[in-house]
Amino acid sequence: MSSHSPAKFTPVAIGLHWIMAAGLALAFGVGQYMSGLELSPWKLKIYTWHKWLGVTLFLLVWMRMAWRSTHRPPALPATMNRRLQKLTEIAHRALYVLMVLIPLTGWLHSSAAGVSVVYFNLLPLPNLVPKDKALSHLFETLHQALNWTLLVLVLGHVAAAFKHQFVDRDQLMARMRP
Amino acid sequence: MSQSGAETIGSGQITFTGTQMGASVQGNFRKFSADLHFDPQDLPHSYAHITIDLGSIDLASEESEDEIKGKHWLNIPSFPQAHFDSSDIRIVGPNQYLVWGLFQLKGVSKPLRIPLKMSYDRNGRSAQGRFTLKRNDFGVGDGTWSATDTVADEVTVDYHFTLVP
Repeated sequence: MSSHSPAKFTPVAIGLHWIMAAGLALAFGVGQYMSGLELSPWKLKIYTWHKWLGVTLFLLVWMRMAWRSTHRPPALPATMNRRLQKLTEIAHRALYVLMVLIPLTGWLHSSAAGVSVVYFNLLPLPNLVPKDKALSHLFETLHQALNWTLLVLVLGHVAAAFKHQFVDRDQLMARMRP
Repeated sequence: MSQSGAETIGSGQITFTGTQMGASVQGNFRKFSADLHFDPQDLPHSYAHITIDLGSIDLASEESEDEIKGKHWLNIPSFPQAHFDSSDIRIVGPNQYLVWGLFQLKGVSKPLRIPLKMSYDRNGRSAQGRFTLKRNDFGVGDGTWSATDTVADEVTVDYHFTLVP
């Protein structure tokens, strides 16, 4: 551990963390709700909003990774053993990979379904693949599977944070307090 | 080049683009047939009768296809085909024509004017063009769907056919 390691995340990192946490929870909840709806104008509307939120999260995660690569996050507590530190690092990397892949597979699913995405009705995004039903199903399945994987990882992330706060009482959560 | 006999479509595609929530949605029909004759030297005797098998619609989503085949949209059980029958073809430029005719869809007949561009290459002749329909003119997407804020009224149709004797 470097002695230059900061004690707290930067305000930008904290802001991005909590904005994305709220956005991901909302996008996940809306995604669960909308997929069970019968086809209707309301369903088309809510799908569109879900896509706009997804594109926003996709942009935010790149900003967040750029910020993280230029602003060193605080080190993990020295009380954690090497194996646990390694596991934590892998889990954090997996969270970032999922935050990139989930909106991307959503965009691919929409493209393959022949439905383009026009971000906030202003910015048309290119269709990444041609219209193809089999491809559309594949990306839909992938999008869902990655979401359930993210849910499991996020639950583990929250459980780990609570363990530090209430069992280890090492004040780890203070580093991410808004 | 055949001067009289009827021709048909060798290969081709009919695609359409709608707009939902401001974003384009693509679809196409896999099955269609044609009885046509095109002689640039004898436009009065040239004609096109196109039949589209609406059940062959491809929207890359079973849910959307089931919906559009239903009574609120195309009502395919009652109206399985769409027809276009030309009545008049006029030249408007080099290899460019306008085709007037009657379009029948979901029990509604409306006059339609379709631009046509002919091109010639080693493999023969091909016809292509693009035009716009208003779905509400044909009662396509009625009831809660007739409002155009979610699904726009205009649908752009593109066709490209190679013609064979």
